[in-house]
Amino acid sequence: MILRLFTAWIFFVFVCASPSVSLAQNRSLGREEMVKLSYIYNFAKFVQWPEERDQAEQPFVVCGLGEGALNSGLYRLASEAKIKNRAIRVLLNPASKNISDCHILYIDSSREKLLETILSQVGSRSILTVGDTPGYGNRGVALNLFVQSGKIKFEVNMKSIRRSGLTVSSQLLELGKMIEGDK
Amino acid sequence: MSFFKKLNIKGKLVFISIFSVIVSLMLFSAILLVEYHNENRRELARNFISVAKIIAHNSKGAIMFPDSERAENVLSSFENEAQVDYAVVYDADDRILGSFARGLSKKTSMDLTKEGFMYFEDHLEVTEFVRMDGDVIGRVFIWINLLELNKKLNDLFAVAGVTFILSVSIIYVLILRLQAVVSGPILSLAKLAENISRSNDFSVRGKYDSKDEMGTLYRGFNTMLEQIQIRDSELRESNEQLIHAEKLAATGKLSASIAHEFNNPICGIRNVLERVDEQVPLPDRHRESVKLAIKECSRIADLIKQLMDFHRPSSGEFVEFDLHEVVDEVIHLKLKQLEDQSIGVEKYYGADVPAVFGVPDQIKQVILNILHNAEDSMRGIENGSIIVKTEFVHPKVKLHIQDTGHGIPGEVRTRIFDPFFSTKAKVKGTGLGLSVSYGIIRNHGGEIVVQSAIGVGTTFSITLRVKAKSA
Repeated sequence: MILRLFTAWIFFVFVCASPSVSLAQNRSLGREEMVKLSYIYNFAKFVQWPEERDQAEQPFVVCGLGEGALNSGLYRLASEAKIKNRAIRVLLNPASKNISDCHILYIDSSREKLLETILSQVGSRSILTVGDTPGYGNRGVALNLFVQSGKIKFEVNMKSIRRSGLTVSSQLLELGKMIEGDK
Repeated sequence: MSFFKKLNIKGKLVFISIFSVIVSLMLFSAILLVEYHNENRRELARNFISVAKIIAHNSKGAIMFPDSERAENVLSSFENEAQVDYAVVYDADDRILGSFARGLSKKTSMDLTKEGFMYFEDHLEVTEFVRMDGDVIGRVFIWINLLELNKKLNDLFAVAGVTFILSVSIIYVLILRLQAVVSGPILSLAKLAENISRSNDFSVRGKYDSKDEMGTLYRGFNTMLEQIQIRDSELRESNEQLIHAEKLAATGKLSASIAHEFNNPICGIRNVLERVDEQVPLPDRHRESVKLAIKECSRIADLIKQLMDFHRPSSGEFVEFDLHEVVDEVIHLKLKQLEDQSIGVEKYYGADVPAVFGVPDQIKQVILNILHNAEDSMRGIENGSIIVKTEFVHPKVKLHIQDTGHGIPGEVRTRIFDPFFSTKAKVKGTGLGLSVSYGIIRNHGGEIVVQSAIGVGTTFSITLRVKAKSA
């Protein structure tokens, strides 16, 4: 129920909600950040992690790299929702040795220069990398959000997805903008 | 129902059969059509619920990452489905994310908060929830026109109608043929009865051989015809008998009246002769002749008296009387004829024979008949004799009249009591004598039997009662 309300609230915000409501709900996050946050959350529903079954009892780990507003929003997500019926654990700026615990790794624009290093640490681990910085997609982030004519869209880097061994729903792939690049 | 009463058997049979067939066929097809109609509607709804589920599944991404284009793309698969006029994907807030419309958009009549289907006059609406991890994230609504379904149903109705008319026609022809099995015998029996009542020919018979009730009816009808025939011939015979008896009675009356007419002159002649004998002196030779004439006149008067007595109509009254007296009287009446044929009469009367019970004139008639026959049977036989014997065999009296005639051949013996059976020349016998005798004795509660041997003679034995039955 909470989840449903949450999702509904996100759509409400996204499509044409009055700004007052969104402001009342969250002072620190802007409308765009809220939608991006909901996208990150929804991505999890269309992606299957290889070891998902064995970890059914363990929390779902969402990691954030950087100092952006979205990273703090992850805590809010963790407090209000679950992913795949698992509690959400948030790791902000984890040590590189802990990156392997992440299921989703969000990298914001402040880490642009370190992106290649980060991605090499991710390697072929089953981590869904998400970004919202132009060019991240081409550089190897699996799903990269961008804004087009006022709407949030996302790029899909198929190569990264294949390498991570994640199973991504075709519906998600069809909705995203395909890029093959891996710079 | 008066229409039904006016129909003949054939019409009734055909009407009943056709009526039953039509009613059952209609009932049968009505149930079938209703069931077919309902099943088709259920099936249509089932099919589109499945379609809605697929659409819902494929719309998940479009709902989660709001994408109208994608949603409409999913719905565009309805382009090739003529039954769908309108389809919508709603998001979680019931806002239209994408829609498909053939022609004008439709107004949804269904309660979208409930999953399922609902039929309306001209369309079907299906609502399917889009679920993700157990949560409703949107809805799919489909508006389906019923043109195809109705066409299917109309086609079926047409086929059913044609089949119905065809079946009824075939059954009508069949019944028209088959009903003859039942109505045929009835009609032919009715025709037979009509013919018989018109022609009065009871010798015809109905021909129908079957173990069913019609067979019983035919057999009963034939038996009835047979009985009518028998009764008819019996009636005719007894009628003839009656005519003969009446003729005889008339003859008897005539002879009695003639005898009466003779009586007076004879008495007159005898008076004259007696006066001549008393008052006229005559030579002895002539006096003898006159006395003889007087004696003969007396004899004639006696005979006339007896004849008149005999022909007096029977009183029919049962009384006790002396059988011997009656036998003597009859023999006396017959004596002259018997003497003429030189037939002797011997009498052996039992001493203990009591008075018998009956009608004396009728018993006389029986004895006279037997004597007649005895006389006839001894024609051409020298020195024949008649032996009359009576005996008392408790509790009855038996009278035997035996002759020494030619005897009666076996084949004749069995028929001698039949009416109009006679071996005598037509002019002489009526063939009624013994049959009437038989009837009389039967009426008296007695018996009459015959024993006969060819060349030896015949014995008639009559048994009579002594007292009234009630006594």
